[in-house]
Amino acid sequence: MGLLGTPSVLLAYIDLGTGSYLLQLAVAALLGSLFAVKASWPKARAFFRRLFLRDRH
Amino acid sequence: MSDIDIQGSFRDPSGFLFRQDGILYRQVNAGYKEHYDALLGSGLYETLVRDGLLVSHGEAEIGLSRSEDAYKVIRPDHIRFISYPYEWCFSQLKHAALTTLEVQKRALEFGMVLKDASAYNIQFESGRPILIDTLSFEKYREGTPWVAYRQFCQHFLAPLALMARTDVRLGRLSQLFIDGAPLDLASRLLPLRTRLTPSLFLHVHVHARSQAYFAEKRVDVRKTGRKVSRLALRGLIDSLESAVRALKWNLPSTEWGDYYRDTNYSEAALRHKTETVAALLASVKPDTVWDLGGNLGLFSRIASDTGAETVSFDADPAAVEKNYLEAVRKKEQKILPLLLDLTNPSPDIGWQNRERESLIARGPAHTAMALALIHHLAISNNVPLGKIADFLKSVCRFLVIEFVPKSDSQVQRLLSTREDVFSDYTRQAFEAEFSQRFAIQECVQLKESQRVLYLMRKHPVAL
Repeated sequence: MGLLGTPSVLLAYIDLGTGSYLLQLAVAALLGSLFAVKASWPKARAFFRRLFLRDRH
Repeated sequence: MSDIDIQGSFRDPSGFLFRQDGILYRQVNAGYKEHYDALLGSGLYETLVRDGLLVSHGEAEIGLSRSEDAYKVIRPDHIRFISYPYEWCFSQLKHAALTTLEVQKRALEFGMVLKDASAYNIQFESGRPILIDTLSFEKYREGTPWVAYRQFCQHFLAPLALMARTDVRLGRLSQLFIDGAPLDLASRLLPLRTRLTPSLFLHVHVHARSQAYFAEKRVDVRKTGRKVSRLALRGLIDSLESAVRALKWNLPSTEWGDYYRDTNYSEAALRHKTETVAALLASVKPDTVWDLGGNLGLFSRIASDTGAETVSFDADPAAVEKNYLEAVRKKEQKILPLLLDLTNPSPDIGWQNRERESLIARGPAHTAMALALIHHLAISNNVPLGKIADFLKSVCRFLVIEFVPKSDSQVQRLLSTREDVFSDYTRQAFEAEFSQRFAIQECVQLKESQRVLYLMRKHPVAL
């Protein structure tokens, strides 16, 4: 079933707008990647901090 | 028995609102059964209601339904005053936007999404923004985009950007455009430097160009074959949230910003006025109060402290912003600051002029207060005293009003730049005009002031 063949989109009662829809398709993956980096950043920072402190000791 | 369809709820085929015997109900249509059951069954409804993000409801008798395709009839909790985005200050719209995104994030955690992101679905209840449309959810299907992306940008992001970066008065655009600010218009009105802000560049400027570019093109989006992953969808919501959070309106010092310090009251006069307003309100025990020209809400809070549901209206966006932020800071539940130009109050708008109600249609309040207001209407706006009385009669049953005579220094200030064509602006004429519509019950001369406070009761309508 194609992307817009899913009932969720077929039943949408508001207009997605072609331009809005295609823009979302174009940028969502990038925004998702940025979000993944942002979400994992505190863990990464803690990891490097531990690594750095261990090296110093 | 009386029953009335609520006109603001007809667009969504999932159900609609109606009122019967004064009680508000929402019919859930059979076509929405799968999603309604998922909302209740997944635990999302319980979580959102617990955290004050969604209006609570109880299920009512199915016999109350208005058509054969009804699945359920529900009875949502009462919202005490319905307000609209064009009546909100900057921070109210911003908090409403963040509430919408928070609901969307929670919904995703429970396998659902918001299928619309209309600012009209948010109301302020007990001082907090809350989603009032129980039927705004649908089951999330992996790979699908957010259907409400365009609507969120038009209803929230673009107006907020315009208010913060161009002029705060552009919040009123949502009164002109029922489905939110057109993105091409927002893009043109925003300063060029907003193109340097990545989130605004993407969600407003590029979004507007994309809409314009594809507007006339025949594109079968079903053939793109591309999907939006759950992570990508979460990224989109996070990007919108960051964009909204980054928008800040720096309060200017306006004509009214320092009103209470720049007044001509002596300390004794202000104290006497405060005590008198409290005593007059106590004598009529209002359950609802509209403070017209409420400024920063000093006197509105006297009303709300009595337990009355108080709406504090003012025409100055800075005053409403300060008033709202004060209410948020103090976690006040009984006061709702709103933006309103009394010389051009919110009209009936939308389809058949019945989707969004006028100010007067949302009344009357038990008591209206018009303190230090009448000279602005009569002198600055040339509204005759009789017409002011007519308007006030239409919005309340009791009226606490302050008459400010022409000899008052504030009136003299208003007259300093114009010819005095107001020979009828006298206390005698004021009492004569208002006595035709109201019974004057109390009249108190303020100490160390030329101003007079009145308590009036509207004459019953003659049959």
